[in-house]
Amino acid sequence: MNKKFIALISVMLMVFAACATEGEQGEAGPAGEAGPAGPAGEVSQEAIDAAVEAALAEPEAEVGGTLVIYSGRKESLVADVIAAFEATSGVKVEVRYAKSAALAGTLELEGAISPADVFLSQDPVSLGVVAKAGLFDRLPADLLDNVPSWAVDKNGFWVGTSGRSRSLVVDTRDVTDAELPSDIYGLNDEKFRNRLGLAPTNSSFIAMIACMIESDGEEKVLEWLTAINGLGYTEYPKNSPQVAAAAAGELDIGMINHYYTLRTLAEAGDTPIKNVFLDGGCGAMVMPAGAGVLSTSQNKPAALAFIEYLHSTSAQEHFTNTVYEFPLVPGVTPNALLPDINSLNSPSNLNWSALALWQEKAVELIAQAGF
Amino acid sequence: MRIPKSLLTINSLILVIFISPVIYMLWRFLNFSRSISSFFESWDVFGLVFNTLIVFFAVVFSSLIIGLIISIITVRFDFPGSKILFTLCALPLVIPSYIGALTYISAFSPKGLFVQIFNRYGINEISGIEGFLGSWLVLTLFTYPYVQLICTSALRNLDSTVEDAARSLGVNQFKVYTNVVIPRLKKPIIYSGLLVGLYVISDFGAVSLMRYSTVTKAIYAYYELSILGDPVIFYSSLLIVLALIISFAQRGSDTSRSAKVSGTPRIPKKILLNGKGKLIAYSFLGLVVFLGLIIPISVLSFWLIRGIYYGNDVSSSIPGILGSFTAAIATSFFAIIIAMPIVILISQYKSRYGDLLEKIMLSLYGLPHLAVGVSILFISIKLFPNIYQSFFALVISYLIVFLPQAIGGGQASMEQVKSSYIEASLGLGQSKIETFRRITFPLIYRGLFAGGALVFLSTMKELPQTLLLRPTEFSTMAVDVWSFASEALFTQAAFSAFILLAISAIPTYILSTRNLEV
Repeated sequence: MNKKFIALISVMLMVFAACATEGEQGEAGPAGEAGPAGPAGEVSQEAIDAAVEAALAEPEAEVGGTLVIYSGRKESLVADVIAAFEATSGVKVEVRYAKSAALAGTLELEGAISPADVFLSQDPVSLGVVAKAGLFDRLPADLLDNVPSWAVDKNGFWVGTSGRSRSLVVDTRDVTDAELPSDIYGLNDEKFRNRLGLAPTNSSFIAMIACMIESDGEEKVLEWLTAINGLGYTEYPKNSPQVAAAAAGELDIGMINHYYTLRTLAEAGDTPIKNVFLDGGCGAMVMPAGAGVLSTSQNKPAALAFIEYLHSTSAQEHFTNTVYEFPLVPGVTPNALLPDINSLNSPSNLNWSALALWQEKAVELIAQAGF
Repeated sequence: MRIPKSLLTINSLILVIFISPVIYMLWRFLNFSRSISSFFESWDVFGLVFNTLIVFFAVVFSSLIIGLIISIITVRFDFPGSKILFTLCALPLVIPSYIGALTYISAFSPKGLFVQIFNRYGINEISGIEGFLGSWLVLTLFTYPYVQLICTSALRNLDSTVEDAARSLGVNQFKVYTNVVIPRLKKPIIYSGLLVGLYVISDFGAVSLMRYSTVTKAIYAYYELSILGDPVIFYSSLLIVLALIISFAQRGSDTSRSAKVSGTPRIPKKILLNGKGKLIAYSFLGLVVFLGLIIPISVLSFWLIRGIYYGNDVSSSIPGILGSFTAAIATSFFAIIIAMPIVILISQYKSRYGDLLEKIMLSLYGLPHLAVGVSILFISIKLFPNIYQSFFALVISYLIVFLPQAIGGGQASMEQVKSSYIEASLGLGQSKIETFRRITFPLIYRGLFAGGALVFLSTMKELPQTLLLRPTEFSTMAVDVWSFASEALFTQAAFSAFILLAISAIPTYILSTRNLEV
């Protein structure tokens, strides 16, 4: 009887311990499931040969194993592309979705222990933060050459995968073109009292603030943020609900990225909303969403293959025809709803790594202004 | 009896693990690279603390009023349907605040459901419920039942001699309550008010959805902006200190023990309500039930039916349902096991160490989940990378805040285990283990399992810790509700919310009322 009881307790403790080690194994990550199954602890000559061959083979390297992606891009925008990559490559992908800035901060905090292989970000500033921390591998030149140079990190740590522009979503029932300013600072106007919307924790909003600090100086930006706060604005957790609110008639003007508006219009063309692209300045910034490979990655071949896949025609077509972003790879036709990217008056020669230096300051100013 | 070494070791080990998040946070707080005063310069600390305290006082106040009125009406007056109305009033207890907030926002945003339904009657827009007012309303509606349940049980046991005397001296009905009855309920009022207060300052879901800037909302915003930021640590420590203060104050007013020893109270005869009285009682209770129960449930049902009608794909909710169950089963299982040595030490060996252990363990209950989550996140990254982002770390984090529920359950039944039973068993030559197996365990397992069930339900509904610590590709119903709601995808959010309520509502109600009505 006594034994039985001790046995029961031991079993419980073992389950507890098993749970602990299970967690650890989970952390060990990609290596665990890599490669074709073979007897554990034995590496055949054949397998080594195959691996060497795979590493040398160009450009269609054999990839496999598990790939962990930290995605600052929303699940509904990229899940299909990731699933398609899984299907064509045979790589098993695990995705951790969160905000780009949060993931950049997480990667910095994790450092060497990061389980991530790829960081997919919705904005170049979050990518720059990770690059600045020295956590990315340099990408091969052929990958960088896939897209125009404005959408590439100068040091080659990350590469753009699609383009997007800052814009204002306006409710056309309540807003006339004439009353809108040509530049973001013009939103600081009494006539916009209680009519503005923004998402202060959105990474693209932070990127815009970083751009403003870089070009106009801290003081002017803080003054603007404080003024906007004083005017009264509606805070949203993300960009998409701003578009929904404008469509419902609850919000007059929202500071967003352009594509949610187009997505809504593509689904219901008679929605009385539209995008307004500002004429110059950081409010008109066109920026790449992009990706980089973590230097601690355990599965770099798959990580590179994934980014290569994001440049494939089918992925680029998905980005432009389903997400309504600008394709970056030459030869892919932008969706008809998109404006000509050359017609947008974005600040030229933006240095993304310089903007990354302002990310922390941008966050501090946003907080200081009381958002 | 001397505490056996093994029991002492196990308990000390548990204690160290369980207080580590608080210690870590305070240690980080004391080791900032920048001065504390610089926080007050760079961030709107006062504004956030002010907002937090305002909603704290407002909700505590309104919950006390509503809860007390319900208790008095149903305990001291007699009218048809009072029992069922009492139960209906207590039911909002089972609705997590973020689900409540979701229903109110989706229904009463300027162009929300309410306007859509009443459009044909010329209502085009309403000024939406959000910010302070929204948080106040929603938090009140889903916390006043704590006051109602705690004060009702106190009121039922309240000897009526004094109030009868007051009445015989010609004091009017209303004054009897304000001047005699309520002052005599001071302790349960403070106790339940602070319980509500703890809930309010820790709440993350409702204030975030209502876009009301409190300390918890700021912590999550800073986490989303960049986790490295000192403000996350700063505000989390601040929140922990605030919660500990409230929690100790609350424990000081705990009356559950003294209430039991009093003799049979003299129960006043219930007063039969006349027509006018009935009207007032029905309108008040009806309004409360309407706001706290009927609105949330009908809004959820509406979104659910609309979702099904439009053929929404609900298969995306399945991983969340499985995730919730996995997490809840694991957490409640370990809560029962870990609570056992603690309960035995506390109740079988009266010692200072045991008293201290009890105090510390129970004060964990009041810790803000978000702050504990932040702490575990940092600890796992910095000190135990092996468990970082693991299911294990998530379960540890749940256990830290929910273990007190299992301990409470075990303690209640442990009181039946008289030390004479154990002495007798030992005296008859049984070993300690044999005594535990044959005497102690059979007597306490029911209580432990009831506590474990409560842990199961709490885990299932937990939001902020899950958001911070969940393993990659792991989701729960609470996380699904949250992510869909923050994108204004109400039909999808409603599906997960509905399932969550369908599973948890009735058992939560039974277990909570049992616990609160001492």
